[in-house]
Amino acid sequence: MLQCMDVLPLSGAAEARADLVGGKAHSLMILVDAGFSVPPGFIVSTEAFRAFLEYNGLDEELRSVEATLLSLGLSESVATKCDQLRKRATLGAWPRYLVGSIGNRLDNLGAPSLAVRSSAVLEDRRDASSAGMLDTALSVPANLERVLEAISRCWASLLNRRGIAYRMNMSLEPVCDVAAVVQRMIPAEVSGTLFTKHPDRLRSETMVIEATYGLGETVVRGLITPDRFLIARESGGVLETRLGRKHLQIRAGPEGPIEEPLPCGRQERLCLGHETLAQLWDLGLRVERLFGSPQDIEWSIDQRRIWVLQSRPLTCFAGG
Amino acid sequence: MNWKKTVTRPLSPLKASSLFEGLEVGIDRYVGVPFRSHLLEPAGTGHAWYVLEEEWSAFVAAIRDRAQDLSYIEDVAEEAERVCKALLDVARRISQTNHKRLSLASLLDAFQEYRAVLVSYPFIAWGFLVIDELLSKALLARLNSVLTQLNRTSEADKIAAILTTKTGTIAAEEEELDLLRLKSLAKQVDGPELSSLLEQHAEKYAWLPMYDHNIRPWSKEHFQESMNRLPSNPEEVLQAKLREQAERKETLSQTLSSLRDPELERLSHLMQRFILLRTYRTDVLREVYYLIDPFLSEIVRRMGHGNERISYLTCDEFIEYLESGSRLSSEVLECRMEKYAMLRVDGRTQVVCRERDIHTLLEKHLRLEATSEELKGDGIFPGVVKGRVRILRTGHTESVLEPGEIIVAEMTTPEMHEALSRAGAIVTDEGGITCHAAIVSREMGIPCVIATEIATKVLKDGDLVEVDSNAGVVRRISE
Repeated sequence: MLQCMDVLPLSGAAEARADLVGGKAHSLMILVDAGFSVPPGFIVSTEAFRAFLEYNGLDEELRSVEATLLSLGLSESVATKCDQLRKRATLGAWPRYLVGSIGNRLDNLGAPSLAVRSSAVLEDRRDASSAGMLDTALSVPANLERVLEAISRCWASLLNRRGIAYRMNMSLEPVCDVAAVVQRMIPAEVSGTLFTKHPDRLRSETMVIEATYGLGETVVRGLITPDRFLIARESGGVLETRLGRKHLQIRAGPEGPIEEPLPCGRQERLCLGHETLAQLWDLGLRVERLFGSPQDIEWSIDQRRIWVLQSRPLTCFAGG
Repeated sequence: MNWKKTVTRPLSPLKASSLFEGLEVGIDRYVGVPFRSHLLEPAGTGHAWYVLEEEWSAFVAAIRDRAQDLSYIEDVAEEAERVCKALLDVARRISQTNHKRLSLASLLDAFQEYRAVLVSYPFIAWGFLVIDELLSKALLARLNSVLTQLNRTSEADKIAAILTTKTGTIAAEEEELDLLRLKSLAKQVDGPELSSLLEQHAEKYAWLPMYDHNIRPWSKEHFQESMNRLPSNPEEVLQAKLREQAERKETLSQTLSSLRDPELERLSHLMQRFILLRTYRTDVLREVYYLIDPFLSEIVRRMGHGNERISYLTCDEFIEYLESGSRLSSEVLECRMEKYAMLRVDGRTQVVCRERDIHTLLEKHLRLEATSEELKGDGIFPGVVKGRVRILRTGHTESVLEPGEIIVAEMTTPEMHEALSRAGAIVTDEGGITCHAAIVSREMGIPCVIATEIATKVLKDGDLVEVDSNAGVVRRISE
């Protein structure tokens, strides 16, 4: 039977080919299969990515850029070429059949607002996080055109100089296939990161949770200093809490993320209580067990429910 | 002087200067502890606002004292509503006059009238910051004691969440509901009628984005576009939203009646009122700016400037012009449009704009205690490194960096990757141990100290420093 491989559900990791969905999507599928709360969504596969490139006449050019990169490195002329290709991909047209299948999935999802994340086939290696190298679009209004635009923008970010330079530095392929994960946007009240193991070897018996009000971008990007909680991995006991400096927050607006100052009263308050910390501790251990290695997890809380937005292996430990 | 950083936000000289006045005169009138000194420091796309530590503590203490009695908080809520109404009244009145035909003297009268009402506003703005917290503490304390009596303490978190969740709607939500109504009507009415309905809608909500002067209000086209983007089943979405709202109200009232405590009920009602007032008061200010901007444009036009300059003048400068005809030059205003810092002391507001002048001002007032500094933060990848400081601003992409230089940034971004890979160490103002800078530092094995708070402010390009990430310390060392 012929099965559509362009747009895939966000579950069924066992049957899915990792080279069709990319690292981020694959780990999300595993989480969904194991029953974790992951925002519902779907995957626009690397097959769709290649079809999109081909449709816009970008595939051949990309291959030749890749060859040049591999033989000559990132020279100014090839970087300029990458910039051009990136612009063309951002503005690229969509094959009709893809528009149709993405539109259907979008209607079925019925979410008012979406998050579109890149999922590269080589991402999430244990010694190279590729953190932040590919684009993410948050709070995209549920309008087909806007969503397609967000996907092509994510894909085009593959051609960012910084990403290419990073991958070449880390001896990764300079250019790779990228899928996109389209999910319901969680209008988070509180978000953050969770390292199931403290990156400092001496404290590897503790778990680190860093959190703030609003979306987690402020924590991930280091825009603010988040509240920090150190939790004993063994018992779940809170060993240490430290109030951060949460002077601003990013919240999910109707037309995209909104950055705004956080009221003083909230700045001086810890954003997580003991009950939630216990839930996060339990979640962290379960995710770690699922993947079989220490994890770097991004999570959000909306209406008291904890959502897992991403999980990837923790990269290098300090002191190693 | 001990400066305390309060909030960081986009703030124009006009908005800031009018708030300064109210924080001094207005707050003095309400609680007898004026904020006499203010400093605005450029930070990112906005300004960090400093007040004196002792004035801040006196203010907090004054409100805390009065708020022991719950009826004071109720009075503040009432006062807030009164001030908001008075502000809207005066702004509407002014917006309806024909400014073009008024003499300078009449413009001055109108401006003074507006200013006299505006002076009351900062008390509700800053008072709320304190009251908010007092109120939620009181509410949670009462809730705990009620639940203890009822033996229901296990539900504390859940009920606390219900009591502190907003049940009413704010203007932005009203707008969305109205737009959904409009979209569901769209199928039944003809083009011209829909267009005129949209027109009315735009008139009602044009002010929504105007958190400051000089911000373009939303047009009919804007609302048309957002209507188009609404889901294709507006009726259902609308009903779902209304249902959700009604459910929240219902949950709240059921929860309260199950607890049967009049005191808690009083606190909860007050809490709900404040939750709405918090947004309402800023909404009122937005609408006021929308109404008053054409009036201010007229004054600025007579000064010989374009109306995009309104927000770059201070209140006093408006008055000075109206009283004596003295006006600021275009150069000064253009310079302010680039960047500015503000200082208010001894009842005078000063705007400083040339880079060097800003630096001198901040150096003088903010950095005195920070000259012999040792910056403390969190060490990430261990190591001790010496090198010269290179400040990287957010958005920086070009990496002309000498190998081994110490990168100092508010935060790091993926754009900086190339520069980071050549750095001897990384120092940031903000960030946690799970943030981008920390991950990169571990991955590349570069010592890093994050969350120093002020590194980009006290260090300069070329300073020789020692970064000791074992201790989480950055020291300036002599040549």
